[in-house]
Amino acid sequence: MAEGKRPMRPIKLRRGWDIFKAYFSVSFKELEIYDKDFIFGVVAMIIEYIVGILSIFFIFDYIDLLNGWSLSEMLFLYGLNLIGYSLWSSFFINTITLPYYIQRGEFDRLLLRPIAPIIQVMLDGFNDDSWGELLTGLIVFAISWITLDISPLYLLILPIIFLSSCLIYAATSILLSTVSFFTVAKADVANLTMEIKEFAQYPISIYPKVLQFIFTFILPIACVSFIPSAVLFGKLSPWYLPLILIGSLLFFGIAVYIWNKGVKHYGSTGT
Amino acid sequence: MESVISLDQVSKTYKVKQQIDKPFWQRLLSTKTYRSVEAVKNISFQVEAGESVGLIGNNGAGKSTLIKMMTGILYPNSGDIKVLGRNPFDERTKNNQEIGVVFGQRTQLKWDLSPIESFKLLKTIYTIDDATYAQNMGFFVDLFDMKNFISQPVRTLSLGQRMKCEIAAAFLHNPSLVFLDEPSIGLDVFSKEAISDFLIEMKRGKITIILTTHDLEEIERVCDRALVIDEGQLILEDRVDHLLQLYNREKNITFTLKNREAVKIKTPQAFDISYAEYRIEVHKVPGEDIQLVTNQVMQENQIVDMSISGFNLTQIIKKYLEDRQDA
Repeated sequence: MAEGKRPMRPIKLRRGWDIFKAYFSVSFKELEIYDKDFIFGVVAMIIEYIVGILSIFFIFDYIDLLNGWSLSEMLFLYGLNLIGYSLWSSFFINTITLPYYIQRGEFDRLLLRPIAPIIQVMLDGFNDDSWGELLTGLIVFAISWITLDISPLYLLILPIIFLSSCLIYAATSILLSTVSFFTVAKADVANLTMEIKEFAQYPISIYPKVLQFIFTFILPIACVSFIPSAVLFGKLSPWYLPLILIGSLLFFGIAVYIWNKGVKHYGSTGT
Repeated sequence: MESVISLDQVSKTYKVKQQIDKPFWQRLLSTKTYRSVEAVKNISFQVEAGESVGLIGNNGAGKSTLIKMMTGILYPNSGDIKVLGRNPFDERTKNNQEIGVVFGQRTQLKWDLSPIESFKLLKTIYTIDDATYAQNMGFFVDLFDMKNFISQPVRTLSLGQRMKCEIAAAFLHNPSLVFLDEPSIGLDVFSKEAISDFLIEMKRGKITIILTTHDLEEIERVCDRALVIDEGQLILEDRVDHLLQLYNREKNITFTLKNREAVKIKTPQAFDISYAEYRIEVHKVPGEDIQLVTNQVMQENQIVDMSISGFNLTQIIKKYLEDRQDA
C-alpha cells in the first residue's frame, strides 16, 4: 500500500474519536455495575464541597473585596476552577495512576498496543466520585454567572475555556507522574495535582510575585481560572483568551513530550 | 524470504541496586553501588514465518527479558534485533498492529465486565473490521467452547475460562506473530489441552508462535523447534522431533510380574535395572536389545504386562542439562 498518499488527517481524527468513544463506553458500563456506590460517592463529594464554599461566604462576611474581587467574582473563580479540575479528575484522572501501572507490571501491557500509551492511560477509567465535584462546580458557576454582568457572547467560548482548564490539570498530573518512570517506587507525587488545585481557586494576584511568575509561566494554573475570569469581567483584554488556549495546549504538549522521554528510559530498565 | 524474528548477538544487562546494610540516613548519604546482572548474553537465533518455537528455561533464565526485547518493551545493550523487518523498540507501535501477546500472569480483560466488552474495545484499538471480527469471534467461541461464559463478568470466570479469553483476545486482530509467556500456568489438564489444540489450529493459519512454558509437554505438542536458555545463554537449539528421535533410540521397559519376588536377570552387557515386588524396570535399552532383554526376563519370571516407553521432552532436556553440567 502506498503510504503517505492516503488522506492521513481525517482518518486519524476519526480513529481518535472512535477510540475515545470505545473507552468511554467501557468506563460507563463499569460505572453501571456499582451504581449505588456511584450515587453515595457523588453525594459525599457535594457535601464535602459545601463546606469549602461556605468558608468563602464567611470570609466575605468580614470583607467586601478580596484584592479587588467581589463575592460573586470569587464564586465564579471557584466554580470555573472546580469545573476544569473535575473534568480532568472525572474522566482522565488515570494519569496519576502511572506508578501503579509500573509497579504491577501492567505498563508493559499498554506498550504492546498500537496506540500511544499516554492515551490509553488517560482514557482507562473514570473517577465517578468526581462527578459530584463537576456538579458542584457547574452549580456555583451558573449561579455566580447570573449575578454578574457578563456578555452572553462569552457563553459560546465557554467550552474552550473548560477544555484548556482541564488540559492544564491533565498536563500537571502527567508531568508529576513522569517521576515514577525513574523511581519505579509508588511515590504519589502526581497526587500533588489535587493540592495545586487549591491555589487556583483564589485570584493569582494575591500571591507573592515569585509564585505569580511560577503560576503563569512554569505551572500555568493562572490559565485555569484567574485569567479567563479576569477577561470575562472586563479586567483583562479578550486577547488573552486565545493565548490561554495556546498556552494550555503547549503545556500539555511539553508534558506529553517529557512523559515519552520517561517511556524511553523505562525501555532501558523495565520493571 | 526475510525471517520474522532475527537476533544477532543480543545482550541485556540490568543494573541492580546493591542492598546496603546500614541505617537509613547513612544509606541516603553513601554513594550507591550497582551490580550488573547479565540477563541475556550474546543470543542469536532466527525464526521463520509460520514456525512455532518454544522457549525453555528455568525461572530467571532470561526468557521474559528476551520476550520483552522482541516485543519492543526493552531495548538491548548490544546486538541487533529485527522483528517483522523492523527495530522492535523504535517502531513498536507499528509492530504492535501485527503482534499479539499473552502474559499468563497478567490480564488484559476488564475485571468487572464480560470478556465481550474487552473484545469490543480491542476491535476499536486494532481497527478490526466488522467482518473479520465476526469471523474470528465465531471461530474462537467455537474452538474454545466459550459460548457459556463469554457474557459473564471476568471476575466470575475460572482461571481456565479466563485464559481462553486472554488467548482469544491476543489472536483477535489476525496477528502474524504471537508471543505467549506461560499461558498455561496453574491450569488443569483439560484447559491446557484446549490451549494446545487452539495453538495447533492457529499454526495452520501460518501464524508464527513463540511460546514459553514450564510444561514441556505443551512444547512437544505445539512447537516445531525448541530453544533452551540457561543463565542468559542459548545452550540448545534444535527441532523438537529431532530431539525426540535423537534421544529415543533408547527405551525404558517395565515388566509387571505374576510372581511377587522378581528374579534377577543376567544380560551380556550391564543395563540399569531396578527390581521391586511384582515389577522389573530396565532403563535405557537400545532398540536392538529389546528382544534380548525381554527373553531374559521371561526365562525366570511370569509376565502379566509390559510397556515400552521413550523419553519425553522433559526428560530429554533434563538429561541434556545434566550431561552439560557433567562435561
